Amino acid sequence: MLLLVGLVPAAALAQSGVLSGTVTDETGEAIPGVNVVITQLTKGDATDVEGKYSITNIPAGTYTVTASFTGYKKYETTVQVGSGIVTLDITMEDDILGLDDVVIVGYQTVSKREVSGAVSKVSAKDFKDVPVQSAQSILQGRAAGVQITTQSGNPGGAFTVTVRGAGSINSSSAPLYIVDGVQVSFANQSSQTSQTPLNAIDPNSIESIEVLKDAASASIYGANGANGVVIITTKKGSNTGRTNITARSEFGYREEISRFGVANSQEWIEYQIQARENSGNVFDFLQDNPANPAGRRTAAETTVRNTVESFGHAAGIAFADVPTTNWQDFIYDAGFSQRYTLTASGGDNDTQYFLNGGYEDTEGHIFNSAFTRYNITANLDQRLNSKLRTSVQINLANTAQTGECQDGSFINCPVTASGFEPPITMPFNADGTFANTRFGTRNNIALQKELVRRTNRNTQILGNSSLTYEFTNWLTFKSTFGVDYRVVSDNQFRPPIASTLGGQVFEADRETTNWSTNNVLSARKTFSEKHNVSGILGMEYRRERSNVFTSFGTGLPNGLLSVINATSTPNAVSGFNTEFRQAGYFARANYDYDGKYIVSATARYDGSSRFGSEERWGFFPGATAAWRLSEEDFFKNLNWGGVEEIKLRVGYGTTGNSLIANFASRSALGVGGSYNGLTGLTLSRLGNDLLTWEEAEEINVGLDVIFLKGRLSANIDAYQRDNNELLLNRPLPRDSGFGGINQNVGSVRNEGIELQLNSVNVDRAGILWTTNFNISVQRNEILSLNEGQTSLNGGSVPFAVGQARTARFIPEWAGINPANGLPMWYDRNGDITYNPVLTAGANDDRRFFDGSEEDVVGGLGNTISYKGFTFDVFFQYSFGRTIFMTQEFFFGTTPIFTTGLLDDIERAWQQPGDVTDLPRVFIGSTEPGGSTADPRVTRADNAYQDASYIRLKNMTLSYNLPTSITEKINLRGVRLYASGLNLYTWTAFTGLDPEQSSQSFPTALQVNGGIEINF
Amino acid sequence: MNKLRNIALLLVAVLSIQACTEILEDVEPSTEITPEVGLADPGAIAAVRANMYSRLHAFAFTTELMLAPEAFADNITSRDGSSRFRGQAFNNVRSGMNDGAYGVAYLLINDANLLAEGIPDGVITDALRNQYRGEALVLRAFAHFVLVRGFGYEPGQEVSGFNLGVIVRTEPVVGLSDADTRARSTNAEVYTQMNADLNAAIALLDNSSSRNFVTQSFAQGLLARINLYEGNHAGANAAATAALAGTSAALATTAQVATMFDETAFAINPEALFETLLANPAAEGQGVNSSLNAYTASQWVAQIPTPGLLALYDPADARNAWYSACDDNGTGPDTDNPAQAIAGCTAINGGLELNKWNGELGQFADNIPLMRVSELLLIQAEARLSGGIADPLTPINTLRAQRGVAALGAVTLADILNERRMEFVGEGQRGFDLKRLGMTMTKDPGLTAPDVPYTDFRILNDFASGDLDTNEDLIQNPGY
Repeated sequence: MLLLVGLVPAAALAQSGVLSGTVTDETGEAIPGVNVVITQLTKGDATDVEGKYSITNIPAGTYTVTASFTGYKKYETTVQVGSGIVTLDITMEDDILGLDDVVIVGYQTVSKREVSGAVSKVSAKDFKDVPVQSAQSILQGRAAGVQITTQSGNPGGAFTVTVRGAGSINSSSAPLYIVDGVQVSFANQSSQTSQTPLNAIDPNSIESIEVLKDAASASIYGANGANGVVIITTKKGSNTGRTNITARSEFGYREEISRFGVANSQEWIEYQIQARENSGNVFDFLQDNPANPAGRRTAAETTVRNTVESFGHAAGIAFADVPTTNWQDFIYDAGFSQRYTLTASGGDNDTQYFLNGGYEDTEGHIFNSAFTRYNITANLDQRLNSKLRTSVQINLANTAQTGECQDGSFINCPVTASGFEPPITMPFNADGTFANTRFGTRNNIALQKELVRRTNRNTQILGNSSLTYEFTNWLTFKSTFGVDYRVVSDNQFRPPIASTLGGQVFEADRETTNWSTNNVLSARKTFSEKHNVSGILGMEYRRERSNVFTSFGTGLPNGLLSVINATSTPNAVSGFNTEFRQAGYFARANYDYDGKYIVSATARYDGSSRFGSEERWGFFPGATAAWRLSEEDFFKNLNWGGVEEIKLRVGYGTTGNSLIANFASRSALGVGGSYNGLTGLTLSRLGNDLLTWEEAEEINVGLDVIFLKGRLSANIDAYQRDNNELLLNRPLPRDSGFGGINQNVGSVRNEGIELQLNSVNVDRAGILWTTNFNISVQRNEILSLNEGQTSLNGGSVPFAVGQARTARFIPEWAGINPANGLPMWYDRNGDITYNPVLTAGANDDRRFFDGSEEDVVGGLGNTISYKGFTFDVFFQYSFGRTIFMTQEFFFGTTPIFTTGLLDDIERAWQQPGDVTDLPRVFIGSTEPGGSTADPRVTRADNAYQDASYIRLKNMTLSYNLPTSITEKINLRGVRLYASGLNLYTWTAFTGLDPEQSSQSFPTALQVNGGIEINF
Repeated sequence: MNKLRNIALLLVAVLSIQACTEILEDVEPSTEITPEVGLADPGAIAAVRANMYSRLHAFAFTTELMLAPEAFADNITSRDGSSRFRGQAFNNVRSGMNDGAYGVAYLLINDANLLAEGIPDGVITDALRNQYRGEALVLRAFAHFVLVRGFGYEPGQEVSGFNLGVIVRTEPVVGLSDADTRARSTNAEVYTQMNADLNAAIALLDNSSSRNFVTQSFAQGLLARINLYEGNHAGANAAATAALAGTSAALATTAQVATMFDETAFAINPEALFETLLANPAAEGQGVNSSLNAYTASQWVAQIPTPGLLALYDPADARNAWYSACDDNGTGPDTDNPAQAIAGCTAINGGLELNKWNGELGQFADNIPLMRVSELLLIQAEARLSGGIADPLTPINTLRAQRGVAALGAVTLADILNERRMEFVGEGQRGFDLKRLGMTMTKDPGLTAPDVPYTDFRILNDFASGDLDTNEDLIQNPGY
């Protein structure tokens, strides 16, 4: 401070003025980091921790001064500066509702006021302390109309994201992801673990995530916009002339959110015996005598005894003495995490920079699962001369995951194995060797845990450089070159003891190079003060090429070397490359009359090498209009005091979905099997020159209202989107040697309503309590398929016309007959049957049931701050999804497989009069007399559970140390925080995790604590 | 003016790219070529042939072909705790005898048709083209045979006069218009086509190829088998005799019986007229979920010999060496491994598994003979006995001599069928032996599942609903 005071007289001597003051909020609290800028001089300062700023060397004159800071309304005033010190204290008004926020709408930014399509935005402040690995998990519950489910709880695992419902049947419904203007490739990911390419970006580097939801907004991305567009923007430096350095450390803990309830060894043995008794011990014909019930019991016990003894228990062991292994204790292993980031940002009028370096090491809650990331973000903006600016944004990341077999009913996936292994098996024999388990020693999960290694390393470069030329203050040209480069290296290693092939190594390298360029001319000009015109004109070109190389070797000299070179027989090698190219020309024109009437029109002409030679290029137009009723004089005259804004929006557009295989349109003689060392070629596909993108048409109407003097805002959107020209495989008679041919037919409709509410509940006496809530209700229906076709297949998810995409076609469960313990279903007439007809025809007993899609999703967040304290609590919810209960229904409640049993088996029918939902235990699929004994083979609605839930997704408490303390230790700020993720779930679902399929790697409960220091 | 010039330059730069629609061209797949390019290249033609053979690696031409018909009958059964081919053991509707072949058989047929009919003149020598054509005709007949015996009755054995066979394809499908919808041919028409294909092939082929490829003798052997199925006993006897005369395969001696299926003892089974080579032995062969080895001797040990079958063997029978303790011995020659004992075998058959498919080539990897010399001998015996042709006894006694069991003094059909059970266990013959003779599908008397009368609809495979939906001309089998 002394130094600064000393400088002031010197500046005064130079006959120029000084503008200084303090910036506070409405409660009088100082706001650090506010940019105060003299517009005419493009000169400014950022406030210090006391909210003070000082701009020196100002030539005498009249200037416009602006102050801006995220979360506050932009401040603007005019000051007269002479030769002395002019004091300008500024009070910033809260802009909790963010009307002055800029929104990125694709190649262009507009203010929130100007938005006329359906765009959701999530900003850095909304997910500041949420301990997640990727941008996708941030969006969950925070953006209305975006449905996100976790694919794997493995740290760094993937998500399934759909925007306004899935509209495709065979192609992907994943949105287009754009990071700082670069379209990100999701091709060729790891085969050893679940992951997402967005792991390359540290969520701490993200400034905002915008989701273009309706087709009118997404049509600027043409043939790639049909599934919505997620635009991720990283942070940038500021022109304050000051450097902000932030260091942050975080530590965390994670564990499983729930477990299966399992039967112990004695229960397991008893039900195995009972089942064999009930079924007449079908296989024990040598000992069984149906006329002698006691003999049946003895025979059944002998069979089960053989099984028990085969797993390493002493011969003749009493059933009561067989120990119980809780295999879940064995697979779950609480994880710890640490995360460090160091950020420097700042700059002046010519150069701005944002640098972020981070390290994260997060252990999963199942053995051997972990995620580590080293990342660097470097964003640099440099003015070259008065017309020319350049910018470079680079994300470098090296991530590594050790994974586990993720999901599915595979006997070596830990979650599956923990349910499959019966309690009578043991990880180790008494002598410490690996024991024989249900699927043999080599699938003993202890052996998987201790000896098998699955590792994955990714190197990613995601960046762009651009050159911007400003012709005039209303016309600029920007040329951007983007690179998205990713190498995914996998290794799976089984030492000799864990392999019957004398040890084996699998290695894979998958390299994807995705480069793109776009060149955009932008204009923005106001005529006669009321006619605001802006627009863009541009082109984009993208090429993506992947090289995939995998190798498999066997025969290792020892367990120490784990590379292909160490194998004696590097015997399976495969490699291929694949490529696609796309190009597009696009334009957008916006016109706004006096802030009242806003119209915007978009068009894109797109082509892709993926499509048939006759249909390679297509045109995607879109248009929106908005009317800000609240700006009309008649409205103002109504004097609805509390209403600040009413905006009506309507939009219509078309987009395309080109997420199909790179060469799906061409007829091919493709690589098939090999014989006698020669690789075969076969007619692998019939070509279709007319094959092209799937097309989405969407109409969106919306209403934005702000009332209660800005204390409450609501955004409502309703949409109807038809995805037409769906790529379906038209089935051909299989005797032709082909299953079908790809054709553009079929259509799916999605429609829904979204509501977003933001409110300021309390804003007084230093207490600020805000709430944001969103809800989306969505449904879909298949409108048409191949001509004359009513369903795509005859299975349990038939994709039938008139039904939702995932609707299930199954019989209805009627429960267990209390008289005899047999399972019952309703037939087509609503009568009880033991043998429902499950094939097409007049006697079909199946009907449609709700499928796996979410019907209602959303979130509720509350933020309360007082003095330095901020408390955030965020709930996320999902209703209407149903899940097939693999473990709970199919494997865990029947003794048929001699696999582990859930404690649900206690509900199995035992004697006449028992009212229950599980049949009597039985080995075999039909009871004597021919009725179905095993409800598993007749998958009815009882095989599925409603996975609706409300989850306390995130809770964070943070505390900013008062400046009085931080000043003493020469720091600009210190913040302490603690947060939790997936803390509690309200659900009737009995599986491990309602977010996932039954046997997947479940999400974890996480608790984190951290400290952030500003220098 | 400068401003205008800049704008003009810019527009030129942006729009000039617009003209170049070629920017989307020159993108070619790395694992495919166009059919026109491929069939004009000798290497690619050889690759089409390799692909045709590789179709025989399919589950439906290996494990299902070899086990499902046996499981539906009385040779092998499902072990307690295993679900693989369990439906066949319990006569479940739609379990089928090799019904999985429906799709893959036509893939093989299309490859064969492309090789037989689609090769342009002058790309390869006439001799090579004839050889490839002969091989293709034999495999086309083989695929049609696998289909027609599963989906239709044998000619003369129709139930209620139902005589439909399967759809016959003799031209390659290269374009959309070739993929027309067709009706099922009658069983007699399918047999006529197979006879014609095999006779044409016999004229085109010789026995110079390795027995890992189709030879003239295999074509004759397959003709013998097909003739036996259609009740043409004279033809069967003649074709079997011709096959035996020409082949370099020979009946295994008593000492060889135990190891004839062991690839470490014999590069090719000494009795095999045609043995398919596994694609990539060291990489787990057909894999843990599909291989014959994993179904019978390792991992799942899902299908084990029935006590009724085991009781047929004389203690001196050399074929007793094909059985060993029921355990998961992993790869290589069987070594009894009590630590990996499989639960549930003891109760059924005293604790034995079948070791014909033992994974000697690598984990879960075996080469599979599709026809052996012993079958030719038993075809001769049966054709002569049933056709009233002289000397049915010599062929069966020739076989028995090398199996270490006493010669028969007289032979009955029951003797021949029992010999076939003992000889071809795990080779997919038993269920179809009963069916082709119009006999009841017997179950092992010790097991609870009832016998299936020949007139029961489950004797024929059913067509999948998807196939019926796609092709209105396809008539479902009765009862489904």
